[in-house]
Amino acid sequence: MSGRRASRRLVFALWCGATPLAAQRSVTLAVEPSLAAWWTHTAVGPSTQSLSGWAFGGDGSVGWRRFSLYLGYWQGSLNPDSTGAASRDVVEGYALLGGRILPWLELRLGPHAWAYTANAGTQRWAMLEGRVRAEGALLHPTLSTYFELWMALSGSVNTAQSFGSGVGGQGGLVYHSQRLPIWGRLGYSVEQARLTGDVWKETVQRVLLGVGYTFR
Amino acid sequence: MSRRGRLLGAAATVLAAVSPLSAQSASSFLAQGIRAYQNLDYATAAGMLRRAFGVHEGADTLAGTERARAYVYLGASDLYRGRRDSAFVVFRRLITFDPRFRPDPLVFPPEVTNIYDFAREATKVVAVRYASDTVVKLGIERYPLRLYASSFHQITVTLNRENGTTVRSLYAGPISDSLDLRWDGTDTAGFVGDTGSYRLTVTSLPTVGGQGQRIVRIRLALHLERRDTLPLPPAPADSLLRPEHTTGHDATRSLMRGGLVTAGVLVLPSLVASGVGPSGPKIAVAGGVAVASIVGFFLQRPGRPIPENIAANQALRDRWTADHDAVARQNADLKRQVRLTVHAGAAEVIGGAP
Repeated sequence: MSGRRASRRLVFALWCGATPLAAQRSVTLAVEPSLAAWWTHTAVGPSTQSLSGWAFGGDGSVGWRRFSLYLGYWQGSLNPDSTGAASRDVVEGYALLGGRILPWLELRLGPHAWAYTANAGTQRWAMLEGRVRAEGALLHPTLSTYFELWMALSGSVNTAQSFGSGVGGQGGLVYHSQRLPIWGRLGYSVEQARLTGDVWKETVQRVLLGVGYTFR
Repeated sequence: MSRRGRLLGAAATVLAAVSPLSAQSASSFLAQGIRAYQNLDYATAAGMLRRAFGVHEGADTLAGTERARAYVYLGASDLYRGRRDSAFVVFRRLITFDPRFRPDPLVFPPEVTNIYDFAREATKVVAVRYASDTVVKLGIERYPLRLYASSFHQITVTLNRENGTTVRSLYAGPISDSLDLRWDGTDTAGFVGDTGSYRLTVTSLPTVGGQGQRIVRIRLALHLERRDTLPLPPAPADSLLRPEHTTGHDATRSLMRGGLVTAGVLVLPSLVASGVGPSGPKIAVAGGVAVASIVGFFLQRPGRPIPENIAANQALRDRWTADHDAVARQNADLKRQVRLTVHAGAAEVIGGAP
């Protein structure tokens, strides 16, 4: 319950902060509430566990010239797909600093973390990620597509083993309204984090459906 | 009284007798002539009136109305002296001098007015009334001329350059009493003339068995003041116009981008997570991207019109057309605001004298 309250606060804070900042013309602001279908697959040695559910949240960005700051937050509940597993609450967030090196290519760097909360305790995954994102129009100016790859430069997890590696990627489709400064997004992302020696593999897949608004 | 004194006295007497005669002006001769005519002393009247015409000392010469009165009294005196031919010639001179003059029927009996009318019929002259200095706004106003004819005859009115070439034929036809002409400042082709010297020529055409050609020529100095016109706005440059039809590049790029992202989404789980997890989500999103790219390809296929670009270009062209028309209208107004200053000289009469 406390996580949902925090999510609403984040969206409200983004919304309230956007308007005065957008008045400065050089700064662009955008918010994108979204709903994510979430699949988690955990493999610890020979045992595996799959959970799925929904998460709600959103992300926002503050852009200035070629640079942008991206903030994202989602939370939801996951239910086991197989017997024997317990339900979890999931919380995910990131804060990435992006720099556009080409009109269609952007590099992003920043922390990305998610946590599972169950009766047994909370499991936290935190990574410092480097990302490469490419965008292009499919039907200018209405439809565009994007593809993003990332890799964990470092990470930590509150388990007995130390963090090993993390990679991920996402791709999708964005529809831009010509009349209003809003857009809709359909995206798919997958990432996997591993502990040292591959004794633990945490795979997360999401399908994200969001509606964004740009303050001008 | 000495001899010298007597000589001085005689000289003073002679001077006193002679000086009133030589000092008499044309006006006083005219008054004496009219008085003699009224006293039926036609010989004295004719003599006085001819002497009135004979005075050529500057301001003392007869002019205007006095000259016309002198002519008509002289003609009437000659008529009553039995000199009908002489009266006819005098009346023709009067008509040439002022074609509009008519003897007062309350003063002159019908035999005088009748012979005057015969003379008028036999004399084909035109007098021109014009503004000597005036400014005409071309396109709005015209330079006015009024012609008075002694009697019905044929005339031509032309405007010529100094070298004799005709700029504009203003009139060719009959005139009976009077005729109003207005020149709009253009030549035969309708173009506004240039600054320079011109001649307005009114020609009374010869009559069969009558007088020869008579020309009234007036020198006109014309000065045209034109307002500068505004430059027309240039047509929109091609660089400002958006492409109105799709090219094959956009369609191909759309298909390639969509294909790459579709393939990327499909292979991403295999690359990142060794194929772990459900395949439905990736297929759904990859399919969406694929469909969108195919739609983008067909919507951007070569030669397909781009409505928003066409509308934007049309708006640009409409703005240019509106600006162009506005400037053209302004220029038309400015062109219409040509001012023609006319300085007309004295009328010069050639030929046709009785």
